[in-house]
Amino acid sequence: MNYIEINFTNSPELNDVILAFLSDTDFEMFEEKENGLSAYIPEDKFDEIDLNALIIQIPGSENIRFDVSLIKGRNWNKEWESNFEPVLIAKKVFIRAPFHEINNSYPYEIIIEPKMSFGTGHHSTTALMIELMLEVDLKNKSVLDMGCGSGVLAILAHKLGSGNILAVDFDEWAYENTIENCQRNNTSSIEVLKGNASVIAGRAFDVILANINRNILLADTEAYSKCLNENGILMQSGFLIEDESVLIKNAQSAGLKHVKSVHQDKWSAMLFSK
Amino acid sequence: MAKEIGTYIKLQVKGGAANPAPPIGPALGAKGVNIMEFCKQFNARTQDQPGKVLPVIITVYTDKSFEFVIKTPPAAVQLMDLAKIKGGSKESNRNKVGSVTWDQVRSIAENKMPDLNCFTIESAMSMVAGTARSMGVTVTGDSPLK
Repeated sequence: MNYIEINFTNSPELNDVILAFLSDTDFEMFEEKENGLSAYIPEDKFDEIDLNALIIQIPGSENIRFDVSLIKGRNWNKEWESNFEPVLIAKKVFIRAPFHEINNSYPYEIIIEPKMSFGTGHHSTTALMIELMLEVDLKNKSVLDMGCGSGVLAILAHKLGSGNILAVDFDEWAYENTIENCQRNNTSSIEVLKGNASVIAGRAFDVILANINRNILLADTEAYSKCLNENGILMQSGFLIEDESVLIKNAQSAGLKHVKSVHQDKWSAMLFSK
Repeated sequence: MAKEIGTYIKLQVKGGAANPAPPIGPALGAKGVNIMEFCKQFNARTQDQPGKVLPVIITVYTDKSFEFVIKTPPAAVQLMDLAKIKGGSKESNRNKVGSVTWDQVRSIAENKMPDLNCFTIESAMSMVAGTARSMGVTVTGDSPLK
């Protein structure tokens, strides 16, 4: 996605005031610099006339100067991605990039080209989800990977013998990246869709994997529960240990039973059954 | 052995809204930091304050690891939140800025005390009131500051 960068060059005392006036708009992120402030907004939400109308209301606005530039969307994470190390999870799942050497000494090898999507196996929540997946029998089960990121969990489900697998993410990078990674791992039978919880309505799965974040899980667990077959399993992660209790309560009210929690660093993953 | 600090990056990001776009993308990406990791951590820690602008200071180490500290919203942002006339149309934006009470100034001052170089709550309040004036927000009632 393209972004618009507004560079304000003015006395630094005005930075916070400009920020306050912009905080109520679609500007999402700001960077404080030595000679002022830069503000960022998605290109499709930017309107220079609106911005001028807003700036004029700031006392001392006659001293505010700014220039507007377009920043084209690109893979900002490339530098890290080109240096990442292979990772081994639960002594069984080896995740590497295409440029790493093949390693056949572990039961499951997954190749991930990350490209700005989440799920290289380096984050605790991915590792915790993999740990939980290895504990249950996924053979011939239908699986949904909700918020699939790089597609790593869906690909592992395929390698663990799952039958029908659907991977869903609302992010364009993640959607395309999952398709690419599925091809790379010879798991192209995985169905990949772009969208949110609304695209799974009316479908049914034995296992649902959702490594997202607390607020989305709170909002969507009921929708997941509706798509779970009897005795189905829901695995959730992407939240901190301190958020467990509110998520357990939420899942219980959606008709799910908390079976277990696993932790790594400050992160948690939980397994529920229907 | 202590890790060697490469650089500091000072950003202001809305709670729960960090994404791998500018300025996070270019600022952290150029240093070889995993942007996705930062976004996930920041969003998990700020999900109770959606839409609120939060200052975050990121320390990037030479080994490409990072740490970050989230501060309370700037006084000007807190003042704007309390003073703005809510639910108005585009036209009513013309008179966006309203007023706050001295009690509200005190609560912002208390909230910002850890970040301000003030020894007393009165001096913090006077700084907040100064910020209010500079942005056109009136403080109503009798000043408790002598």
